[in-house]
Amino acid sequence: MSDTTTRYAESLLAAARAEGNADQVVGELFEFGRVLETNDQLREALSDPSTPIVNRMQAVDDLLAGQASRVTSSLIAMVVGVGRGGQLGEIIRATVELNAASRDQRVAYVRSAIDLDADQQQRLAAALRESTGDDVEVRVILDPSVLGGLVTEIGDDVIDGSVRRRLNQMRESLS
Amino acid sequence: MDLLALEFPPVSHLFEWPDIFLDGTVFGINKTVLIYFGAVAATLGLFFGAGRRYKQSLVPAGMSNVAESGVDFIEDSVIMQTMGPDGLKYLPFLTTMFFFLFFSNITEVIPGIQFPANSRMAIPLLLALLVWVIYNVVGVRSQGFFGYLKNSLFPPGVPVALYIIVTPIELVSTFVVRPFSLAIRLWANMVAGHLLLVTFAVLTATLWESTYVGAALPFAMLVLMTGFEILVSALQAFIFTILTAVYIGGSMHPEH
Amino acid sequence: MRMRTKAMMLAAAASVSVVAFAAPASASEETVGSCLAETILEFETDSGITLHELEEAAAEGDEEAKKELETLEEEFEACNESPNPILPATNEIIWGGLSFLILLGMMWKFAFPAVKNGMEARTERIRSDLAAADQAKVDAQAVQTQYEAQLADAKTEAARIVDEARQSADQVRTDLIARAEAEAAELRERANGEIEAMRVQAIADVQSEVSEIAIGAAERVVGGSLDRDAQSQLVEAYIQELTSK
Repeated sequence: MSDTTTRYAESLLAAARAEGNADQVVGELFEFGRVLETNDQLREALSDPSTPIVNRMQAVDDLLAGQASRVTSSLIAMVVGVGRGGQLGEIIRATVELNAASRDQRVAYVRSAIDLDADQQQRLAAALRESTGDDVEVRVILDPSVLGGLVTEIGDDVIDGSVRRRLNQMRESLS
Repeated sequence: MDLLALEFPPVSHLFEWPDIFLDGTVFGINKTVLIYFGAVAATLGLFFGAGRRYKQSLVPAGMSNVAESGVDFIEDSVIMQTMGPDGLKYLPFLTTMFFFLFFSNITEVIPGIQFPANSRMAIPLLLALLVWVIYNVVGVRSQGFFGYLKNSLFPPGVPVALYIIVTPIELVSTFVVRPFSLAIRLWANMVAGHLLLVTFAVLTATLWESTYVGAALPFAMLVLMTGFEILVSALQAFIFTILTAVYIGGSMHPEH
Repeated sequence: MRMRTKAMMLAAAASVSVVAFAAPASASEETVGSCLAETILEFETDSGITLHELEEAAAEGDEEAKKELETLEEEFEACNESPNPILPATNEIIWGGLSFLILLGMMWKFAFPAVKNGMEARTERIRSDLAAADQAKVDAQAVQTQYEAQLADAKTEAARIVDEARQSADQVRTDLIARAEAEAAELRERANGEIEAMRVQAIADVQSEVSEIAIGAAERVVGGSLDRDAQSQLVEAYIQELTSK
């Protein structure tokens, strides 16, 4: 994570806190990051230098209108407006982790084929805390390719309990 | 002198010639003396002519052939046969002697001269005495005086008893008779030859006057005798020369 | 040549002069007749009587006349008798001796050496020419020997070159055959290797294809068979597992 990314993350988080709804904004940013991660077209459009910046900011506005808060929308437009569209994913991820870190938590990205309810999320967080020894904030990512079960990433650690992994193991043993 | 009605000149007229120059003195020059001069001129002419030729070419021709034949003849047939290589120093002397004698003999048959100078005793006697001096000097020189006497008077290989006979004979023959026999042999041969030629010439001339045909036989004899006398001229010169060589050689090498 | 002609002409002139001077010599004054005449004339002048008167007086018995006549007859005899021809004349001895001595001197000093030197020079020339010819022959033989040796060398060299060429040709042929065989072997080997690799690859491909098909089938089966409950159970099991660790 470069210094530029961290600075942008810090300023985004500070702006969100100044608006008073930091957690909501961070949640919305995370969701946008998810979309950005899965949508290659969007990612390219936002970082395409041949498209005028105004058009790119307008695209962000159009995309988020009614989907996210104005603060979230403005922040993303701001990042795109200064020409950092290509680093948007990283900046969002840094912002999420910075927000968690401000509560002494680490972010646990949990990929699942289904949505997890609050209870499941809480128990999972508790289990992760027990397993890793760190307080974690669970961010669920819906990923049908997991097929079943969960894959948790905390920093560089990966705890894979997915059906996909089992199938991969099977494939390797077959070939 | 009437012989067969022939007019034969007195013998003295055939050999004695009146002086032409310096008449009556001891230096009177007559036909004989002129022939001597001629022989000298002929010999020198032959050898100088031959010697001059060598300056142009070493290939012998003409006069040099004659001179060379003479030198070779004296060297090979006279000196080497009688004296051996030691005698080669006498080659010029013997060559000169041979040619001088030959030229003063051969005038006997040369038309217009028809007189052999050596039918006069002067040269035969002079040369014989010269030879006598030479071989005696050589003998004394090479054997010593007594050695020469001993070898001459007591020839080795003769029984001692015979020396009573041999020694007087040798004494007379070597020291007295030799030069005279040498001189007289030459002189007499030339006298006889000259008389022969004169006889046949007079006979031919006389017979020609009376009967032309009668002259044929003496004329044929004259021609024959002329050829014979050419031979005699050369032969006598050769004999005189080779006897000289024999005498000198005997003095050099008494064992022979 | 000119000098020789001169010498010959000189000799001829000498001969002619001899003949010319000799001719009047035959008309000698010293004939027998003139001797007798002179003797008689001398007697008649001295005695005052003629020879005939003396003969008559002698015939008459005059002893003195007889003696006189005898003396006169002896003188006549002397007239008839020539001087002894074996005795040399003084002038001939002088001139003959001089002539011979001069001739001998000239010959010894000049004429004879000229001829003898010429003859020796020729002998020497012939000897040196023969020696040169011999030397030339020896040289020629040496050159010939050398040429023959060079020829032999050249032949040997040619044979050697041909031999070498044959050997190298053999070598090249052998090399080519060996290389061809080696290449053939290598090609065969490589082909075998490729065939083997392809076989292995084919097997692997088949295996991977089979496993892909199987896994794909398994995925579809699993995906289809995982309902909400099963999913929840899997999540629970995950949480359980985390806790139990």
